[in-house]
Amino acid sequence: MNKDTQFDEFKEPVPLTGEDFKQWDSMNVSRSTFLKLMGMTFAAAAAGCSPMPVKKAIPYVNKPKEITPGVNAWYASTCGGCSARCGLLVKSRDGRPIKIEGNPEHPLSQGGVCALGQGTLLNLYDVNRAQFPTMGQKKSSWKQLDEAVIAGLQKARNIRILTPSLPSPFSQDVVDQFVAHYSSARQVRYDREPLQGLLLAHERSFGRAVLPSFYLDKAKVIVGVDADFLASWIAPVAFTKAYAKRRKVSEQNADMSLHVQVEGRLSLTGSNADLRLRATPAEQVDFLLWLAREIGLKRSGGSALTIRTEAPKLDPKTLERTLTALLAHPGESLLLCGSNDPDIQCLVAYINSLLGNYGRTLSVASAAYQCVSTGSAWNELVEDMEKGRVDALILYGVNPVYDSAEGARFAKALEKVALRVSLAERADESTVLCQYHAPDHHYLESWNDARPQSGVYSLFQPLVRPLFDTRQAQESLLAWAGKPQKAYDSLRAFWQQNIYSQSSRLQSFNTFWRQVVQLGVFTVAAEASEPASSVSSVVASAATALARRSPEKGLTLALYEKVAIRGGQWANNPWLQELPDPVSKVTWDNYASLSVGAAKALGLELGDLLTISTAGQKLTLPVYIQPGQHDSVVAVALGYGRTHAGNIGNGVGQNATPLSASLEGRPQWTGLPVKIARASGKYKLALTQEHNFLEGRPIVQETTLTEYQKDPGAGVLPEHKLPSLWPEFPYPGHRWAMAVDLNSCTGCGACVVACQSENNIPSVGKKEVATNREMHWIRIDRYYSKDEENPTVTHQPMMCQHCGNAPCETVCPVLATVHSTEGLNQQVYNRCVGTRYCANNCPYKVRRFNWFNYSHDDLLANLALNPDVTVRSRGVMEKCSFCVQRIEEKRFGAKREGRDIKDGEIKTACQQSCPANALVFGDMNDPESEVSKLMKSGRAYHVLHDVGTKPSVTYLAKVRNIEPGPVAASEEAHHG
Amino acid sequence: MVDATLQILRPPLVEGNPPLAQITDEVCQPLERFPGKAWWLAFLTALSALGLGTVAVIYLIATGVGVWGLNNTVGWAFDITNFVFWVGIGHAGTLISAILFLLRQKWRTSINRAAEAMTIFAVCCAGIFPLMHMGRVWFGAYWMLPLPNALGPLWVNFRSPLLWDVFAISTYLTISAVFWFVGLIPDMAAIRDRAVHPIRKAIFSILALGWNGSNRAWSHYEKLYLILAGLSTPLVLSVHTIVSFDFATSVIPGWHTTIFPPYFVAGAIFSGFAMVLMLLIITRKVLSFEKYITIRHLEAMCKVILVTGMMVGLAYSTEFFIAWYSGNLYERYAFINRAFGPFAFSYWIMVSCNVLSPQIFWFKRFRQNIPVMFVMTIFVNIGMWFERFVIIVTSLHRDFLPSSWSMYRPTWVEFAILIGSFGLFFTLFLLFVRVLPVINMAEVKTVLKEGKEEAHGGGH
Repeated sequence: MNKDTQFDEFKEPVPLTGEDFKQWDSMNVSRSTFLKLMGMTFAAAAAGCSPMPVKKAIPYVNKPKEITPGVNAWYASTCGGCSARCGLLVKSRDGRPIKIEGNPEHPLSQGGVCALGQGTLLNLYDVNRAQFPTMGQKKSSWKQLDEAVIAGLQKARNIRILTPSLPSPFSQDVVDQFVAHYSSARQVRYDREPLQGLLLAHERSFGRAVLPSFYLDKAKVIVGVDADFLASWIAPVAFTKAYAKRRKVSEQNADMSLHVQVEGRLSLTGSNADLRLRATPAEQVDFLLWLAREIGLKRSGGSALTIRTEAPKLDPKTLERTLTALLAHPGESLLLCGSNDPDIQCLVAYINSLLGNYGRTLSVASAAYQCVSTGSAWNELVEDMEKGRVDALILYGVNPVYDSAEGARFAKALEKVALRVSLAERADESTVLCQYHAPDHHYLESWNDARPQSGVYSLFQPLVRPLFDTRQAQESLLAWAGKPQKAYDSLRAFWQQNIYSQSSRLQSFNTFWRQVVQLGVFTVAAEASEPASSVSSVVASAATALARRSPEKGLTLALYEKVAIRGGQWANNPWLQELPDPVSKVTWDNYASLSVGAAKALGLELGDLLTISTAGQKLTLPVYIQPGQHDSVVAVALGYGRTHAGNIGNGVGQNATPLSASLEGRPQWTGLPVKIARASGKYKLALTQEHNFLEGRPIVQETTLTEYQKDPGAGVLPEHKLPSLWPEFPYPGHRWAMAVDLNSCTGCGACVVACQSENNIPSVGKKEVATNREMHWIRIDRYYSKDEENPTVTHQPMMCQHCGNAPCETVCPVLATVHSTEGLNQQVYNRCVGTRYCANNCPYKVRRFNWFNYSHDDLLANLALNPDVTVRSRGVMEKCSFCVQRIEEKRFGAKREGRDIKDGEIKTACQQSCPANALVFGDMNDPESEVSKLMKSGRAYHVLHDVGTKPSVTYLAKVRNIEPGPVAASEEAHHG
Repeated sequence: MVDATLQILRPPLVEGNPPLAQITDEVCQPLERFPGKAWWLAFLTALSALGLGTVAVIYLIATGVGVWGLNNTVGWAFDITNFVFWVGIGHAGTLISAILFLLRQKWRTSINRAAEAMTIFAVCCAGIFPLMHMGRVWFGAYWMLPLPNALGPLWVNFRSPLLWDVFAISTYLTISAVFWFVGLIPDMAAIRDRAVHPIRKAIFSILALGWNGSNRAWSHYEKLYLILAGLSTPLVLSVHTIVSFDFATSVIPGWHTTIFPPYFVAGAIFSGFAMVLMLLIITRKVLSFEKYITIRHLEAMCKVILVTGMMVGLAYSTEFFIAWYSGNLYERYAFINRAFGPFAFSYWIMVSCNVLSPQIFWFKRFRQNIPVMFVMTIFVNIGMWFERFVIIVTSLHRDFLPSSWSMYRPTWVEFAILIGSFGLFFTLFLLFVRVLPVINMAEVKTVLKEGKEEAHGGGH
């Protein structure tokens, strides 16, 4: 097959147009060639993006230029999953989006996209979305609704529009136009995420209430204090991209950043840290005070902190190393803190400022826009509503009844508002309390823009004609503001006026617009110099206030978000519900995490019920025992317990928001004093991994940075050539292989959802996951080692290893799993009779069996299926195929152009989505390919090499930036 | 003189030295009268169990293998355990018929018919499970056979031990059935000759293949019987050897063991003898065949059980020794996990039933005590079922990567199908005792004193 190019019948452009067929009449084409070409028509795909938007649905009798049946088209767009606004490339097939990928051109997300972002595709095809406008919960027409709403608004004397911090200049402009139209209207911003403290601190210290931008790729020392920046904080994908850059080591560049995490629960970010300190929120404050004082003394000769602070009661060696590292890297370090307390954030700003990090590893001049409000207007709004001072309220992009600490209060106050209008895309908890529901499109049906950070503008473009009778929220607002206009026209006009002016204007607006739509993103240089700082003068009062505060005694609650469910907006999504939490590996639930010590002290086991009570609230949840958690912290995930999400999301887990607090409109998620009591009963949690320790097996091999610098092969067991009964397979052409860098992988799970979306993998539901029948083709194994109280964590992606000597291949009685000439281990679904012998004999346990006919009854959700991949029926085994359909697509492309496949051209779904670039796919027969170079690296090893399977997947050993010492697993194996 | 001594040393194989006609009468008697209450009770119980199993199988095929308790990690459990269990049971029949025949062990004569029948029924029960365990049995049932087909070059995989199983089991079933049938011919002729009812006469006339009892017929018969015995003998060793290859050729710690072939064969004989013994204890009582199936037969079988029980005990300990001696991390863990992991109960049930309890057969008292024997046969069968369960489930549930370790919990469907397989076995066996002679009349007659004395006397 390496002589691909010699078959020139493939040079014909495929698919064939009418003209081509005419030529064929006069040509002497054999039947088999014709069939080959016909087959190609369905398998091949044209590369490149079409700039043309889908504005109208055109029946296929008049075939639109950009839609060719059976051919994938890619459109650039922006992710509406969370407020980070990553760049997307969306694969469209036959006029419908079927896969979300990251846009490599986007300067922040750089081709990465998280699990949630990819999962939102399924929410497009969600039958539980609102399908038409309603008035008083009854179906109405848009005309009726508009008339009624406008009449109501015109009568109203106090109109409020409640929105989140819209990281979209266009949407903000529309809201502004609406507010301008009604003199009594005011916009109130409500953000459910606790970022306001960060804004307030920068307002005090720099005079600007903004979120700073963080540049983790420029930081050699990263200290995270309760900031889960790799999973849920501000912009996790962009942060992971930048973070991973500094975590890659190679023989040429044997250096990596030092990451210290100080936190109460074991977050995904903490699980990736080199050094980790378990600390309660009070201890975190002590840590920051100590750090501020020590750094102040060393960096500015005297401290701005007048108070005396003692060293926190944390591991002194780690503290010392952290301090030394920070002092050694001024301008190359970064302190990140997840607290929502402006005083604490002032302290953090002070430390970053002392270290000269502003303008280098973080910037105020180039602000981020995920949160632009300090939240102060919220209390006022609720009070006004309670006192009947608001007579019209429009909810746009918010669901405070569900996700505000004061949800119940808000719901009650809402009753006093005469006109209640919701623009939500489904009848959610807040919408059901409104009279009018003008449902918004899904973002994949909308025109919109985004500005995640200063100077970065990106566009949303619709991928499909609206599936239901919905209308884009901006169009609704414009219609009610008396300027009915299509979103596309208003967006284009807005960009012509506001964004185009920032470009070089060397080309016409039309050209500029076409380019931006095609590329998805437009960047302009941001403001260069940082504003003057007055941080030293404000820090003293902040520190004094902090030091005076009496620390909470006893248990505190830590609320957090999971990578896939986040705030619960997209909860009606089986992919996201079934994605195991990267740390706990629990699916389909939230739970009360307790430390090993706390659980032992209370005699609690996994699944025992526990009642958590705050001053006014109670919640009973199952217990999960989390190694690495602080003994006085209970952690519960938000985003669960939806009541109006839809058939899938309703009643999954429980809503922990009522346990949170709101302080001057700022959500408080941590440090909340709680009491816990055992409740009667047991609850079954569905875990995808039940055993957490390596048992001394050299499955994860690791070393320390110092050892690695001395010897690139440190910590890696030597692999001897093993004898084999079978003759070697010849691989004359390509031989596909993958390299997995354990040092880059953060375990976020983006690859799992990417694979699920690409390969039509069914979600099986909680009950089936609980019996260990999850279908994911790629999983991330998470192992703890060393200390159970504060363990060292490793994330190891595990998928079919495409073994050279595959144990599954020899045992199949009907040849349903066979070896390809290019080293792929192929599963032939049609031939499989389901003996499961292959799965039993797989040492990696990566094969997945269809125990039942998994539901494909939801015809709407079926639109998200990838037509290039067979949907498997029951009784059939399946597993990772190395995305063979993607290999074939690129092979055809290369053949048509009469060339060989280029290295890096084929990207598997998991690899494409990986925000950390931990996965590399390529041809190991090509000595110049990236994967073959990685396979030669000193860190390269194969999992279970000694079983003799000769895997095609190479793992690169984990390097930890810690003092050399005994490393658990591989060391033991050396002697064992 | 010699004969007299032997007579003292060896009790007669048939007690009371009945006349030949009486033997025929007594053996054919259950076939020729309406069954009694005990038979009906047993038959209806067996039939109910079979009915339950059938319902479970229909539910399984209609819904999917997911109705069992299997998961991604444990892909086989009750299904293959039952399969190996029943194949093992089937071993005693051929051993008794063929190997003991070649070794001129005359004591086999009155039990070989029942043992062979049991073999065939056990293999039928075993055959259900490889079919039922498949995800798509409607294809698997014939895709497993190397049939010419229209699917291009698609054929079976001759490297797969599952395919070897298909050949091994089908060969075994064929040879066993032919062997059994050939052995039945003289007896069926006897029934034909006794038959009063014309239909009965017609059926047995066909089945007797025109047997006329001539010297010529006997000479052909005995040659054929000898050849078939010769053909069956290697099968006793090969079938369970091949079944053990399902595990031995794999890479899973706890399966990947070269000791498996002899270990499995010993275990199969062990369980097979226990099952034959159990059936004979019941049959001789219910059909009043104490005369033909004497305590001597039973004692001989107890001895075989004692020996093979110790053989499997040796195999168990060898496995542990090798797991330690090999220094293989995974192997070592697999065996520690067997004895002390979450499925330790199954391991200790296995050891106590298979290794410890048969030790009482060192004592003649127990070898001749029928209630003790009966309880022991049940113990051995439980122990041997658990042996296969231990091998399959405890090896799979914790193999190489700790991340995929899992537990296995059977569902009612698995229990129902197991019960159903016993139902099928006993239904077939109970029908057998009603329609065919349980004791090989022709052969029993050859071990009688009567014939021998004549021959002996003639020699003088």
